[in-house]
Amino acid sequence: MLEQVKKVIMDAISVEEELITPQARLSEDLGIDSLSAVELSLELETEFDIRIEDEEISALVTVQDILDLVNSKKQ
Amino acid sequence: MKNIEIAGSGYAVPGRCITNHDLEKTVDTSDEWITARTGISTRYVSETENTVSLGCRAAVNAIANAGITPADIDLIIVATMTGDNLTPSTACLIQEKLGINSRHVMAFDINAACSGFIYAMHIASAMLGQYRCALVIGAETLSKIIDWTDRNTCVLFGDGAGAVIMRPGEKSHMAFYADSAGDSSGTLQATGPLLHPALENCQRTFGYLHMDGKEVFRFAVKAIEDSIHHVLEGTGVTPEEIDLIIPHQANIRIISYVARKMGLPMEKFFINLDTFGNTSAASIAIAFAQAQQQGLIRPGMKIVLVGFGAGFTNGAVYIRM
Ligand SMILES: CC(C)(COP(=O)(O)OP(=O)(O)OC[C@H]1O[C@@H](n2cnc3c(N)ncnc32)[C@H](O)[C@@H]1OP(=O)(O)O)[C@@H](O)C(=O)NCCC(=O)NCCS
Repeated sequence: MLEQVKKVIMDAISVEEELITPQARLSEDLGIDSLSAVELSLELETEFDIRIEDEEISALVTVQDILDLVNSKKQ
Repeated sequence: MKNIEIAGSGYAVPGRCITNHDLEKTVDTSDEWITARTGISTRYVSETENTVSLGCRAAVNAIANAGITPADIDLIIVATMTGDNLTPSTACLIQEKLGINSRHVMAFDINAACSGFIYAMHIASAMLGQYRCALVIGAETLSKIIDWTDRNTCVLFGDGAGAVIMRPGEKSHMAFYADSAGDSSGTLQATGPLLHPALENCQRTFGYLHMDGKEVFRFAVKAIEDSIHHVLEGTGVTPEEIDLIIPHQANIRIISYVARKMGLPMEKFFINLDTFGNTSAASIAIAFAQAQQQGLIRPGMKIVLVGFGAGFTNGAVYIRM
C-alpha cells in the first residue's frame, strides 16, 4: 500500500521518493498545499476507486493519514 | 465539421488595474498566496464602463481586425452573466452603439457562465448559412457581482470583453462540443432577483457570487479533459497534435493539473490569467484575440478553445485555421 500511495504522490506532485515516508508531513515536509491535496485526492480516488470528501482532505497531516484513510475506505 | 472561419478578433478591458498588493490592503490576503494558489497577479476592474461599453469596444476592435464594416454583420450573440439590464439585451444595445439598428440583424444574449463564449460560438455556427456574418462577444463586468470583502472570490475575478467575427469560409473548419449538468446546490452561483415581495415575503436583491473552490476545482479539471476529448472525436486529430489550447483562464493550477494529466506540455496552453484574472464569458474571447495579436495563431494551425463554468456548463471548439 505504501508503495502504491508513494507512486500516486509522485505522479501528483514533483517530490523525491525518499522524502515520502509514513511520518512525512504533507505540508511542511512535502510542500503539498491545500490545492495539491485536492489534486492528490483526485489521483487517490482513481487509483483506489474510492471517494474522498473535502473535510477528509483537510484533516490529512501525514502520509500515514493517507494510508489510514485509503485503508478505511477500501474496507 | 463546419466550414467556418474567424475573420477577426478583438478585446477590451477597463482602465483600472488592481494588483495583488492592492487587495492586501482591503482583505486578509497576500501576493504570495494569490500567486501560488491561482497564478493571478493583476485584474482589470471597471469604474465607469458597464458590460455594453466593454463589449462594444471589443466588437469595434474585432470589426477593424476583420477588415469589415458594422453593416456587414447580421447576427450578434453576446455571452454574459452580468448584462446591464434584464432587458434590453446587451446584444441589442451593442447593435445600437454600432449604428446598425436600421439593418436586418438578429441580436440576443446567452448565459452559460464561464462557458458562455464557447456556447455562443456553437450557436453562431449552427445559424451561419441563414446568416452571413456573426459578431460573437463574451463580455462581463463581474466586479458588480463580486463581494469585495470576500477573499475567497474577490482575488480571482476581473472585468473585460472579447469578440470574434465568424462567417462561412472554405479554408478553415471547426467542430463543437457542449455539455451541461444542472447544479442547484450552490457550488458556484450568484442568485438573481428573488420572487416579488407581494407574492413571497422576501427582498428584491441580487446576490454576490459564491463558490465552493475545491468542488469547482474537481469539476473543472475533469470538464476540460472531457471537453477536449469529445470535441476531437470524429476529427481524426489527437490532443498531442493540437498546436495551441486556449483554456478558460480561471486558475493556473487547474490548467497545469490538466496538462500533467493529459501528458501535454504547458507551452501548448495559452495563459493570460496572470494579467486579467478570470473574466468569465470574456476570458476565452480575450485570450483568443490576444493570442492572435501576438502572432501565435497562424493559418493551418490546429487550435482548441475549452471552457467550463457555473451551471455546470462546459464545452470546446476545435478550429483548423
Ligand atoms: C479559490 C481557490 C484558489 C482556493 O484554494 P483552496 O486550496 O481551496 O483554499 P482554501 O479555501 O482551502 O484555503 C486554504 C487556506 O488558505 C486560506 N485562504 C483562503 N483564501 C485566501 C486568500 N484569498 N488569501 C490568503 N489566504 C487564503 C484559508 O483560510 C486556508 O487557511 P488554513 O489552511 O489556515 O485554514 C481554489 O479552490 C480554486 O481556484 N478553485 C477553483 C475556483 C474557480 O476556478 N472558480 C471559477 C470557475 S469558472
